[in-house]
Amino acid sequence: MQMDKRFKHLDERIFGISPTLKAKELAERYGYLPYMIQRYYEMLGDWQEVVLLLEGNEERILPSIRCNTLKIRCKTLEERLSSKNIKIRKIPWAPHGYWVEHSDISIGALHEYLHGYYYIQGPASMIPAYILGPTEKELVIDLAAAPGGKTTQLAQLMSNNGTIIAVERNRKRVKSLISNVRRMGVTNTIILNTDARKLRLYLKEVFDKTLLDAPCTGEGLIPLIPERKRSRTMNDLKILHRLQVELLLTAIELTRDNGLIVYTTCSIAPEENEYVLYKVLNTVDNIELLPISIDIGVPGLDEYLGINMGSEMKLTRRLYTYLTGTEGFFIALLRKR
Amino acid sequence: MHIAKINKCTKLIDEFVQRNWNTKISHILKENKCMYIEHGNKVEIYLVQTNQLRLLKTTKTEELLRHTVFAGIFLGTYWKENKEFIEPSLELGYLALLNNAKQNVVYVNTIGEKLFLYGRDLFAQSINSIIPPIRYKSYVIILNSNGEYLGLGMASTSIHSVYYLEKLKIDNPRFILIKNYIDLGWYLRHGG
Repeated sequence: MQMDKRFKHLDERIFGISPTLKAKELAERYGYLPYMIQRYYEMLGDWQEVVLLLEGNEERILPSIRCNTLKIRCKTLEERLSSKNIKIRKIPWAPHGYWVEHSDISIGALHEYLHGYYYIQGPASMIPAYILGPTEKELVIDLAAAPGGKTTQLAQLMSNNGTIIAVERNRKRVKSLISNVRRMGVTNTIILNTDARKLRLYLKEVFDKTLLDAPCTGEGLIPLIPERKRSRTMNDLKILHRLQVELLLTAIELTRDNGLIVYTTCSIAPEENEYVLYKVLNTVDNIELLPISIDIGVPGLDEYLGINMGSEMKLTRRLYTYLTGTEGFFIALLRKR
Repeated sequence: MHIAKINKCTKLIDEFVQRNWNTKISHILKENKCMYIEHGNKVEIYLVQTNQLRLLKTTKTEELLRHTVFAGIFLGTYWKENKEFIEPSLELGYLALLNNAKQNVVYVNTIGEKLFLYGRDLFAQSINSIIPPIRYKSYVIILNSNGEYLGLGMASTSIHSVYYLEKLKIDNPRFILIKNYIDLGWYLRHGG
């Protein structure tokens, strides 16, 4: 409540944005809500760049998979898929990731999929687990875990050792989380069906590493789900922003001193990314942003709508489809001091 | 609302494995603990590595258990009024396989593999070989020709030798030898 008051004038500026005529024209041409286009201009600072972003969102993104070394050697998986006339290519920044360039069969219906030899996962969403880098003795928490792509990847990187607590509030989505954890042969995970924010009451400063892939508008997924061009209003964005701030504050409380936190969303909205970090960094003093070791995308925004977000925001990474060929994504790495 | 408890692993699981696949997993059950999640009369059993329980000792265990819906390896389900009757999970069959299952194991051909993964039963003609005996109404581990685990079936007759299997394949190739109990296709059909 206190925090809401402190940032009230900034909230008004950010969530009160109104579209110009140019934004309305482009919104009509590409089928978006006008406020979204105006924000793209404020982010990129150039209408030509905005058009490139919008054109990029019209392109098809190649499907991608992550080889599951808990169950198979990646070389063996490559050979098996090749024998089925499925053409795959390694993703440079993801040690277990492959683009699927050609497949006559749905990659979600292959026997190899049922065996849990791979997980269908966007290339950008493979990055957070690598950035977090869990080791085999650590205690890790995944705060919004369903459907389990990142949880199963963490387990893979930990060779099924250590412990993962995977939290999911939505009961229906827990079902898919459990199914994927089982299919991928993950055995080091405890799944909780609860609101992650409640965990601060009894799991304070317990975890070595925390992953928060926050619930978001999915504005980075427009190339995959074009309905997102019109399905989320500014009010939805405001509600999700509040939740994201609360979840990140929870993540900080749950992590031990010197522990690492990865904050990600599948959204390119500054309101869900830099502005969340800005509020949190200006609310608690025991947290710092760290550089990200994977060189992909562009630095985060240090200024938005005339608000100075702080130069450290350039340590975060933004992935735009038109620049990286991936889903739109945001990644930040934080350390608790 | 469910209740989760942690305790020693019930010997019923080991007895079940021994009865069906003539092998023991008692060493695994002794080294680890089991989590029991009760939903009314139904009890789900999970095998949890001891080091994972470290967390539960450092925090408010009851709070954590109240929200736990899954842990470690799902072994199966039993009903309070009939504890002998265990419904095995896919994972329990796989655990028995890794621990040298000595009976009730069937290798299927490519057609059988496809049918089984679609939730269908297995004809005699789909079966390449067996680790005998196959016992009537026992749970049978189903493997493809590469030895990859496909799931569990239930034998609809007894077969005590490879010779008898070959005779059955000639005399009655469409005889349903194994009824599908659970297969990996479950993840697609029911996994959510």
